[in-house]
Amino acid sequence: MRARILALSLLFALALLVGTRAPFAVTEDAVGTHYGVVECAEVGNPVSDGTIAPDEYDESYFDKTTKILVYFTCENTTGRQLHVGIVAPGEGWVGLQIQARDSWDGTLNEVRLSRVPSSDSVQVADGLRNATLGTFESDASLGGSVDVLNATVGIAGAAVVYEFCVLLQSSDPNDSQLSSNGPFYFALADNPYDPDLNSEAMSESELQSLVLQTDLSVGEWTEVEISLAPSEPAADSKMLVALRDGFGYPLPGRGLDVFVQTTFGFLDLGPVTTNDQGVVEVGYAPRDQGTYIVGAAYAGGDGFLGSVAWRTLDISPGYGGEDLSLGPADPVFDLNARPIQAIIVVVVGGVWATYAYAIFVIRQTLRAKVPKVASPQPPGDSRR
Amino acid sequence: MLDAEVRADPVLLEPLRTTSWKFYVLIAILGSVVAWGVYAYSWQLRTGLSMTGLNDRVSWGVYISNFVFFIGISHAGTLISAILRVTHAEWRRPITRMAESITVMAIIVGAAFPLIDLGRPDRLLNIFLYGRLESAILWDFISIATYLAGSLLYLYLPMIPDLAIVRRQVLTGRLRSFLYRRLGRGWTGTAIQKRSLEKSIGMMAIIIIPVAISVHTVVSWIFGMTLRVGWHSAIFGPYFVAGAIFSGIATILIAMAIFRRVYHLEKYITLQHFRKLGALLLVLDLIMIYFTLSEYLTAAYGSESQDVIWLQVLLEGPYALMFWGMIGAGFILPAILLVSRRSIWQIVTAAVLVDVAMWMERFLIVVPSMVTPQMTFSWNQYSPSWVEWSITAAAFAGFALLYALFSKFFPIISMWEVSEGALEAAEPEPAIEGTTA
Repeated sequence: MRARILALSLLFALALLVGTRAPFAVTEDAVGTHYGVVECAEVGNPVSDGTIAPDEYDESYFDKTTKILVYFTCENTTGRQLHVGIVAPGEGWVGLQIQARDSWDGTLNEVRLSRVPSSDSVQVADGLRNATLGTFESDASLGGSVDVLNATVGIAGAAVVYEFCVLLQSSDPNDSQLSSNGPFYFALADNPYDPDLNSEAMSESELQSLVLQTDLSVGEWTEVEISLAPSEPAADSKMLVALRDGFGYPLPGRGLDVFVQTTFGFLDLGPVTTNDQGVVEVGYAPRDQGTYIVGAAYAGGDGFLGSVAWRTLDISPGYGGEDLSLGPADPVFDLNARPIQAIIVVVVGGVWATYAYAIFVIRQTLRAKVPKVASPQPPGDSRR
Repeated sequence: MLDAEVRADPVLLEPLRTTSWKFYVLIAILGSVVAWGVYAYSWQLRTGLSMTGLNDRVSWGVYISNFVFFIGISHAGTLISAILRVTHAEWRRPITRMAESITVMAIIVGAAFPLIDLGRPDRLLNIFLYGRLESAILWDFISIATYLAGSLLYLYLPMIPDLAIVRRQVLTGRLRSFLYRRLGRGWTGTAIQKRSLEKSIGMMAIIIIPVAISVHTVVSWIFGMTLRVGWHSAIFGPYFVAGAIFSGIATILIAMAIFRRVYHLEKYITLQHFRKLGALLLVLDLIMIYFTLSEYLTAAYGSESQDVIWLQVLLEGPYALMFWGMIGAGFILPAILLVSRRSIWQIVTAAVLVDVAMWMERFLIVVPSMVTPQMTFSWNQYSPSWVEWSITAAAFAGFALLYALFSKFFPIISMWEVSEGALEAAEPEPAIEGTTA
């Protein structure tokens, strides 16, 4: 009885623990135009045209997980609108999640966008995300409407730029109903490979705090530029990353994140720091031919907005790569050769066959009928 | 008759008959630690591996260290039971069951770690869907699955006679009665059954030795076949196997000491058992010192640029304390303690030191190599998070929990083997063909 009570208690405790949502942690290195929470004010002049320009937004946030840079400007006195600019790599969708209710109940209003290359247009989905359950349901399926305004798309290097506006206090109960100035949670999500807005997110940022302000100045514009310095052999190839302010002056001593998109996600090549000329040299030697997407981001801070640049790095035979470097040699042992496969199968199969035979031998005798006249012999009594 | 006396010895069956409140407290504590680990893992599952200290450069850390460690201690069963059985070492009899069960528990716990390290456990399916023979991961999967199946069988076969004894002599609940009936069904102890059983056990004892060696060799190849500083070494196969047997013996010594004290098995597990296993531990300790010296001295003498950086990390850098602690307190001090082997506590202390050192050795193989930069512009960093430590604690608690529960369901000493050994010792030396079948 005691054992059953103990087992039930343990099961209950286990279920409770597994079902409990972990407490949220604010990203420690969250940076907008300053250190701390992201502050959004009504001082920018956003134009939804698929191009991010100086003075459009007053705040930015670069997420190191998804490598998405997001710009904000808020109309928090009239209209309560949040203007957003997003720069994201990949051909899939990106999503912005904003806390849905004034008091945090685990729901987020999520806007997903992806570019339609054939028409150079943008497709939008507006839905409600349950952060506790990890579910996403579109507003349309919940009986609401799409409250995303002026969504446009553009191209910047190897990245896609989205600009749009969402209502912070929507009439749709399935959208954000934010009457205060925060702080509110927001997060970013994306699937860089699939433009289908109903596909699963491949990466999500931590929840980050956003507050609405009225007396902030516009964050100063910055720009990251990537240039490639190819050389032969390809192992000596360099990327030069420059960081400049809105006047074109270099920003020295600033930390940059440099990364390359791979099949398995982003490979970080940094962080690196700009020199006196606001430039940093990064070595990256792709092993094989192919097309690589490289990016460099400045997260912002000290009054500066963040910025990001994406470029396509095309490693062709003439450029370098496998043909000019010492590529992998032909393997000495070809494990796919039939004789080697046969040996492996025989060895592994032989072991399993031995197991089977051992079971067979003992089961045969255990199943045998014992003559009633024979008195059982104790185990171990096999003296002869 | 000695055989009957052993089988009826209440000391051996007592753990199956009665359970004290202390046992429930132990289970509750271990269960809580496991539950906390499950919670931590559920968080990792929801949030991803970013919750761990792992990153794109140091992608293997505590999880893989635990994997190598637990697969290592699973060699306890192979060595104590199979090797000693094949070599007819009579003193093995009271400790074979403990050793064989350690093997099964350790594989179960150890094999979970590659899945935990995957982040997306559903991607295990990719091994079946897209498995490639060139991949050391596939070799590992095949060898561990083969070893687990073999170990389970090798644990089960010698238990059949004891299950029949337990079924007859211990009054149990419906569940346990059903278990004993199913597992020991048909055993009556006839000479034919006895011969068949010994034939099956003999086959398994022979086949399980190369399987066990292959398992840890394949685990070592995951590192050794990688062109990475500190890993790409031909010595890794035997180095890992020796380390595995080393930690396996240490673990069985600790288990022996605990069960001896808790279940009052002083009559069966004597100082002689500890001394003999202690001697084996000493031999393996010296082999490990030799391999370690050979491995690091070779790298240091060549002084290739990356080898130098890697050795600086190990010998003078952030892992220096762990490295020298492992050498001093984990290899040299146990050797000093084991030379005399005067008392049980002395031997068990050495065993505990060895197990701690072997976990550190696994960590020092995995992490410093990954921390050493492969490109020139940045250092890699790794600091395990609370999620990793929680899951590690849960693994050790889970191992202890499984072991404790096993001892409550099955006799922890092989009664019939002890009985047989006593009978053989009591009878006169046979003239020509007196060996047992």
